[in-house]
Amino acid sequence: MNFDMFTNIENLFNYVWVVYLVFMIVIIFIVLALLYHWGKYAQIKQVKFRFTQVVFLLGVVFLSMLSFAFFIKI
Amino acid sequence: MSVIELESGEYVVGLTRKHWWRLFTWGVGLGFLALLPVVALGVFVSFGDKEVSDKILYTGGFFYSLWLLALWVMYFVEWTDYYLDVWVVTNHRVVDIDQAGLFSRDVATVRLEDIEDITVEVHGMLETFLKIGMITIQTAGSRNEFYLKNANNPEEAKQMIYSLVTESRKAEK
Repeated sequence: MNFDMFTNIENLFNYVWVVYLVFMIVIIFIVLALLYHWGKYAQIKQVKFRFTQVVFLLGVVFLSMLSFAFFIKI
Repeated sequence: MSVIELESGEYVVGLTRKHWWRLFTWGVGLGFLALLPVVALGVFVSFGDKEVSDKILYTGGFFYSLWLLALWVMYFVEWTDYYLDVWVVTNHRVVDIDQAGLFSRDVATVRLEDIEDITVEVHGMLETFLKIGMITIQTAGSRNEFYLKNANNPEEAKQMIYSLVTESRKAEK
């Protein structure tokens, strides 16, 4: 294994923000779709359901922030 | 209740969902996929002849966090499918909501008086122990069969619906 291959393709990383942007747009779209469904179609509002929503959103926010923290370090 | 408008005197008796086992196996599969890059990185580093630079570490961390985010969202898409795929049993009818993905839904209703037969099928050792099975309602209506595959405790659901059908028929007489 040769780590120098990373330096050879370093130029590609100049465009990593494009991948990041597209990925985040897709994720935001799916998150909004999920929230829409949960709001519109949940048959009975349950405490467990609210808890799941909060856990999901916390996970999304945490991982998004983590990815952004790595992104600005690249 | 946002989708089902209850009639006067109607109330929800119970819900029947798919078994959590499928969701669990899905979660285990995604957990495995989440660990895969860590294992791959470990192998990569152990066979590498140089130390991992900060640049590689941050880049790997960046893509790994995106990978985790994708898996996290995928799990909840599956969870939504599980949660919204439900039979709502009221004292007047059974509403079969079939959620297939994010933008496909099929909602059908059968009134208790139209129910002719309820069958439960449980096949396999795991299914027997975990009470996973298929419940089918035969009806007199135009859509003559309602079914829920991998239902959680189908026998209990059958008993619940059957007792409601019996009460409904008694009330009719």
